Amino acid sequence: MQIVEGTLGDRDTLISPHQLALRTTVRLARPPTGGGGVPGGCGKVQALLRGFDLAYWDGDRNLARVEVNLEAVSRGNSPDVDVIAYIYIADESPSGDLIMAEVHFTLLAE
Amino acid sequence: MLILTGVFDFPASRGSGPRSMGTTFTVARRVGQASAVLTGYTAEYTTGDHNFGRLIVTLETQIISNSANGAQIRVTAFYGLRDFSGNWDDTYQGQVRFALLVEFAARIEPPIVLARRKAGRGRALRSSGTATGMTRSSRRSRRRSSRSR
Repeated sequence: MQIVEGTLGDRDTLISPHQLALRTTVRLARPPTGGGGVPGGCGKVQALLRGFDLAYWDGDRNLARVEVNLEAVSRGNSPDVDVIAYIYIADESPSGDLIMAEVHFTLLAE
Repeated sequence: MLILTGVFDFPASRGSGPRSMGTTFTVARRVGQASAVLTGYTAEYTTGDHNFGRLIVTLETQIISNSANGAQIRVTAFYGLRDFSGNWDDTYQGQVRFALLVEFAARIEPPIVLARRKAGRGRALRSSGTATGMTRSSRRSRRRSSRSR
């Protein structure tokens, strides 16, 4: 099992309400295995949440919903894995709020 | 892989943030990699509701000692909840639940030393008497019987 820790975003980067996905590519020591025996099948990878730091950018607001989700996508036999964090914080006003987000993950690969 | 779980219970407090709590796990083997991940959290203001400004829930993992006899792994949680009036002036509390994933280092077995054979004889070394199935006393009695012949 390979275990890799990483971080998406940072405390100083503004995220617009229309771009709520942060993405990075992790290079593993070896390509993940466990593609279910399917030729060219993707190796088994999973991104787990290690933590987050979320804030409204310009002043506090009511909170209606807060959300952090992770996805890991393996590229076939490549050691590269894409890790994507989907983030959402909002009140119920129609104007999108600017936020900052830092998401910490642990990537598991077989 | 070993999976250990735990909970950090942050009591109600105000005036600072994010706050941190830590715990140390001891395992009996050398560790290759370790990482603590969230299994859940609770974050709440304890004096009525307030606006949301910032929420931090983060785990850090550090292998603080590591040898063939065992390892110590430190897990630290950081937690903070605030609005943006004042400076962490609203009382907040919470729990951070985690699973510590530990991958042990590959075990390296000591090399196997084979008894050398004498060239051309196909016999095991005499020094290791048991390797030929002969004990010291059986060799002695064999020598005695050949002398008497």
